[in-house]
Amino acid sequence: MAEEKETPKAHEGADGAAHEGGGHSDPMHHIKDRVIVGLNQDGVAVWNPDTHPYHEVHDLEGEIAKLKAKAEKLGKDEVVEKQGIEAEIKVLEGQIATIKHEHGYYEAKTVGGILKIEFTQHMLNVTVAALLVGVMVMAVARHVLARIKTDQAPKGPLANAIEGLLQYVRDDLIIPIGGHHLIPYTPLFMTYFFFIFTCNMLGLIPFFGTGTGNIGVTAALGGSIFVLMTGLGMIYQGPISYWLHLVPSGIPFLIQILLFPIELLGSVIKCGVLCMRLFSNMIGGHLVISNLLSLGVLGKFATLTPPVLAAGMLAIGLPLALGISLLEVLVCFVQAYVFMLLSIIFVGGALHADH
Amino acid sequence: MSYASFAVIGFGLVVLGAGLGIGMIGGKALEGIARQPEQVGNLRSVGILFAALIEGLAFVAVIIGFVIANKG
Repeated sequence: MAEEKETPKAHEGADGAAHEGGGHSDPMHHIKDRVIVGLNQDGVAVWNPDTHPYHEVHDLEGEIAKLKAKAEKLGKDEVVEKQGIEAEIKVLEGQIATIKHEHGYYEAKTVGGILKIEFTQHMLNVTVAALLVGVMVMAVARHVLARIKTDQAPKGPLANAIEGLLQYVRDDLIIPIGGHHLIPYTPLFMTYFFFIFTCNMLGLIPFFGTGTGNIGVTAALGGSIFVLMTGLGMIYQGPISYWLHLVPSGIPFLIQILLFPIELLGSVIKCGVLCMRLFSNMIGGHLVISNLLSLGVLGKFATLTPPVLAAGMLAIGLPLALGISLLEVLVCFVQAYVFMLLSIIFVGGALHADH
Repeated sequence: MSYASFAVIGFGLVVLGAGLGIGMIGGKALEGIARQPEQVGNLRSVGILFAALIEGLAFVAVIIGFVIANKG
C-alpha cells in the first residue's frame, strides 16, 4: 500500500498500474465504492465522475488547516514566519482554485451537508440482488400456490429446494430456539438469508462490487436486527419489563445493578458484531483475491507494456485467485447462514427471556 | 515514531487465538466423527458454524489492523 502515499502526480503514467484505467495503483481500487452517476453542485447529473480532483482538493484543504493551526500557535512577534506561512497558504489556495476551475470538477450535492446525492456501484449491486431475490421468490410462490389449488405437490428443483430450506429453518432452527411465537417471522429470516447470500455471491463476478462489502449496508442489516430485537421484546414482554429482564434473575441485587449497563451494551454490541463479521469476511476475501491477482505485476515487472502485464497477471495470479474464489463460495453461504442463525437466536432470546 | 506497528502486533495475536480455537474445534469434531461415523452430517454443520463465529472475531481484527496500518 506504499503507492497510496505518493504525491497526487504519481498517477500519471505507468507506475505499477496493471489496469487499463492508467493510474490506479492500489489493489483497493476494485473493492472501494465507485460513483456511477452523481448530482454536481450546480445541479447537473454527471455520469462516471472522476472523484480524484475532489480528493486532491480535500487534501489541500487539510494542509491549509494544518498551516493555519501552526500560524495560530506562533507568538505575536514572529511576524516573518507568519508571513511565510500566509504565503504558503496563498499558494495552496491558488492550486485549489485551478483544480476547481478545470473542466469537469465534480463535487457531490449534499442533503443537509451529509448525504450525498449519488448512485454508487454498491447501491447498484444491492438493488440487483434485491430484485433477483424478489423475482425468484415471487415466481416460486406463485407456482406453489397454483399447484396447491389443484392439490398437487410443487414440481421442479427450485421450488423443492426452497421448500426444503424453509422446512429445515422452521422445524430445526426457529421452533427449538424461538418457540412458537416466532413462527410468523420465518419469512423475515429467510429474506435476510436469501438477500445476504445473493449479495455475497454477486460479488464474485469480476468488476461487479459486493453489496455487503459496504459497511453501510451491513450496519443497516445489523441495526435492523437490533430494532427487531428490542421491538419484539418490548411487544411480547411489555415495554419496561423487557429492559428489566435483560439481566438474569436469581442473583443478588447489587450484582444485578452492576450487570445492567453491561447487558445493555451487550445487546448493542451483539448486533454490531453481526455487522462487522459479515463486512470483514466479504472485504477480506476480496482483498486476498485482488492482491493475488496483482502478484505477477509488482516491482520491475510493472514498467513493461500492458500486454506483458496482462499475461503475467493471468499466468501467475489467475490460478491462485480461482482457488480462493472457490473457497469464497463456501464463505458466502456460511456467512449468510450464520447471520440468519444468530439473528434467530437473538430475537428468540428477546421474546422469552424470563424462563 | 508511529506506534501503529505495535498495535498491529496485537491484532496478529487475536488471529493467533482464533487459529488455536478453530484448531481445537476441528480436533474435537474429528474425534466425534471417529467415535460415531453416522453423525458426520451433524458434526460437520456444528463445526463449521462455530468456526465461522470465531473467524468473525479474527477477521474484524484483521480489517481494523489493516486500516490502522494504513493510517498510522
